[in-house]
Order: sequence, then structure tokens, then C-alpha cells
Amino acid sequence: MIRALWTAGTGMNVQQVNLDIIANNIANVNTNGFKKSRADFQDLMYQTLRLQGIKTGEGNEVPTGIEIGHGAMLAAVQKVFMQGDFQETQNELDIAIEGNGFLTVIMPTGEKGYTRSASLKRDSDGKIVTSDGYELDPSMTIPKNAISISIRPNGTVSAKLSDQSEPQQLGTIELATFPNPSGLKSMGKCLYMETDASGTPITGKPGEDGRGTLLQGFLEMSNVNVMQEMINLIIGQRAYEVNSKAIQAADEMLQMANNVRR
Amino acid sequence: MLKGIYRALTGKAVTERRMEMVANNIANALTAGYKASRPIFKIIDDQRGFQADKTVQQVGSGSIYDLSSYTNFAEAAMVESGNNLDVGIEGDGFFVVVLDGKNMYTRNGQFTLNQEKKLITMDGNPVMGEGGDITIDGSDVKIESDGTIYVDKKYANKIRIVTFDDKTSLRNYGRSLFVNTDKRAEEKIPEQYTLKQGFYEASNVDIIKEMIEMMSALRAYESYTKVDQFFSEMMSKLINLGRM
Repeated sequence: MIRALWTAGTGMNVQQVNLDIIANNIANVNTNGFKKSRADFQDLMYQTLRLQGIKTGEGNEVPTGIEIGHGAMLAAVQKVFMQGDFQETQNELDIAIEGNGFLTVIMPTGEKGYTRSASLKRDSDGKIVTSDGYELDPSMTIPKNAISISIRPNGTVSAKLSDQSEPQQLGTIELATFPNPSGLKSMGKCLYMETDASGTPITGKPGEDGRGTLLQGFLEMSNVNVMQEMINLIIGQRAYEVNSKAIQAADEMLQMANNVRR
Repeated sequence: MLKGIYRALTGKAVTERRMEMVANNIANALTAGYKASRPIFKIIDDQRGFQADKTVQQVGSGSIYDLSSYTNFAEAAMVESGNNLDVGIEGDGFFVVVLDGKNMYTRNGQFTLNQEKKLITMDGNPVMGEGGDITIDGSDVKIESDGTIYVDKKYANKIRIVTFDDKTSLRNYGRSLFVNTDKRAEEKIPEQYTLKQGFYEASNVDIIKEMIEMMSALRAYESYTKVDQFFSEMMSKLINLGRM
């Protein structure tokens, strides 16, 4: 059979995954702290029908061989950790991270998760938690009689209590950086987990060793650019279409071949 | 037997290969750094027959296509990605990637890091610098136009860019890699190139050209089929002559 059928089929497959990823990006255009994904493609292996450089019968060398490629495949789906825009919320527990770094949270399984969606809340005990109720690591409790909370760019959290004139220091919010953030595993809910590829996290105070700083009263918006996604969508759809045309053409060729003997 | 029918058959086989190349190009229309394959046809216009009476007898003048393929290394557009480990080469040159101890070459500059903080391709193969593996230990990565990498404002390494005088010895390996098949061909530093951080090179497949190629292959195939049918009818008449 004609290889073109399968080759164009791999092209359609790849574009289908591409559209899936674009759709997920667009669906999260308003998700705070969301980082877009990107599909990276590669060509599949080649079948060499004739190798270049070999000697022909007359002793000449074949300058160019015959190589037939077998289509495309998905090489990786990469998270793009580009900074998102900031949105002012004036909520004292909303923090945006300017620069590299993730907040560390303890997931219900006891494992550590990392997030950039820092719309923090208080639970019934006064502990600082994420919207999903996951505790921050290191954990921090806000006293019941706190009037206002201030979070400094270097991570220091202090609260003004109703019975004291001087603000009381509660602790420090630490940031974790990774050698290769693209290697993190996405858990959904804007949470990421450490993998072998991401490397071990380096935790420390914001602002030190290239870590980003904190900005209170702001949230980091999704880094999805709608215009760019729309363009990618159009390109992806057209690429899908042209692959289907190649399948049609290969099919027509087979039909002609079959009609030789009537 | 009638020779024409074999010619049509060769034509058909070649056209199928042509179609397969088009399909591969189209499938890789969005593969970063992909270089399109193109078919080359050669016409063997005189077929040497048996040596009768010591003179070379020319049998027919029909043309048989001899097909080979070449890779079109034309430069493609740069796509801005904003990812600071994406590098595009403007001008001549390839990145050097080591796979199983062997140098491979690629124009696909979508890189990432492994757990040892080494710069790798999406397949996990290390990208070579002038001083061996490129280690990026730090968060602020700046890649200059000549390939010099500064990590946290300190010199780290320089991305190695090489080219070949004759690129026909580069064979497609798949996975965006090229392998050099001619041992005599040597790597050399290209005279002029510019690296662009935050960009990657798109595929150089021209969809319009591929569509035209596809239509022309399809029609050629149709014509060969007609020739087949014609010969088939002719033979059928010949055979039926005896039944008069």
C-alpha cells in the first residue's frame, strides 16, 4: 500500500493533539497563575531506499540517495513558564510572584506541591491555605485578633494585632526554584510536582539567588495570549486539513490502481 | 512483450514515492527546524539493449524515471516563543547534538534542561558547546547572537554551530536530526550566523508547493493508469486476433 496514507495519518494525529493543547490553553485564559503548554513536534524515522555515497555498477558514487520519511510525531508537551500579567485585587492575602519561583504547599497525600496561583485564604484555625485548602510549607497561622496582614517583597509576613501597637512577625513565605521548571509534572489546579527531570527544588527567601519577589494585593494572571492561541488554532486546523487532502490523494491513487483491471 | 507497459509501471512506482515524500512534508508542516525533502528525477533516455552485431542497439526512446531525494536546507521563518531556552539560527549552521557517542546535527532549537542542568534536546540528547556539554546552573540565562551563554551574568559556555561545504552528505535521521554519511566531509564554523534567543525556526515546508506537487503526482499517476489500460486493450485485441 502507499505509505503516504499512514504518513499523512501521523500528521493528522499530531495536529489533533496540537488542537487539544491549544483548547486547554484557551480554556484557561482567565485562570490565575496558569502557564500555557506548547506541543513540540519531530519528524519520524526515514526509510532509506538507496543510500547516498554508495558505488553504482559503473563505479560512480550516488550523490543523493532516496529517503522516505514516515511522518511526524509529538516530541514533548512543554509548559512555558513565561511571566503572566499582574492584576490588582487589593486582597491582602493575594500574592503575585515577580520572577522565578513557586510557593510550596502540602497536598492531602503529604507530598509537596508547587504553585504560582497564590490567591491565599485563611482556614478555620487561621492557617494560611490555598483556594483548595492546602497548607503552605512552612506553615503559618494568623492570630484571631489580627487586624491587617502585610507581606513584604522578601517574604516576611507580619500582622497588626488589635491589642498591640507594633506589628508582630509571623514568619516567612519561601519560594522554590527548579533547575528545569519545564520538567515539572502538572497535577491540575495550577499545582506542579517535582520529577527527575525538573531536579530538586532549591528553597529560600524571595529575592535571593535569582528567586522572584512577592507582591501583595496582586494576582498573576494566566500567561495565555489569546491572539497567539487563535493564530496557532488556525495554523493547526489548516495543517490538519492539508493532511486529510494528502490522504484523499493517496486514496485516489489506490482507486486508480484498482481500476486498471476491470 | 510490450515495453511501454513496464515504463508506465516504473512511472507509477516513482509517483508513489513522490506522493510519500509530499505526505511526509505535509505531516511535518509544523515541526520546528524541519527541512523539506524533494524528489529528483533523472531521465534515462536510451536503454541499452542486447549487443546484436557488435553494435549497441537502442531500444526505444521512452523515458524511465530514476528517482532520488534531497533535503532542501532553505531557511524558514523565525517564530517568537518567549521561552528563553529556545534558540533559532539565522543563516547557515546546525546545532551539534550527541546521540550514542556520535555527532548529529539539527536546526531545531527547542531545548530544555535535564536534572544535571545540562542543555538537552526534547529527546534528552545533550547539545554541544565549544567546551563540551553546556551546563546552565542559574536562573538568568542570556544567549548572545554568537552563541555565548551567560548564566547570572557570568560566562558559561558557547553554543557550537557547525556547517558543511556540501550538505548532500547529511542524511535525515528522524527526530529532527541529520547524520553525516560522508567521512570526508568535515565540520566547519559557518562564516556568518546569528543566534536568536526566545525564537525557534519553523518548518520550511511550503504548503502551496506541496499541494501542487500532490496534484501533479496524482494526475501523473492517472496518466500512467491510462497508458496501462491502453496497452491492456491492445493486448486483448492481439490475443483475440487468433480467434477469427
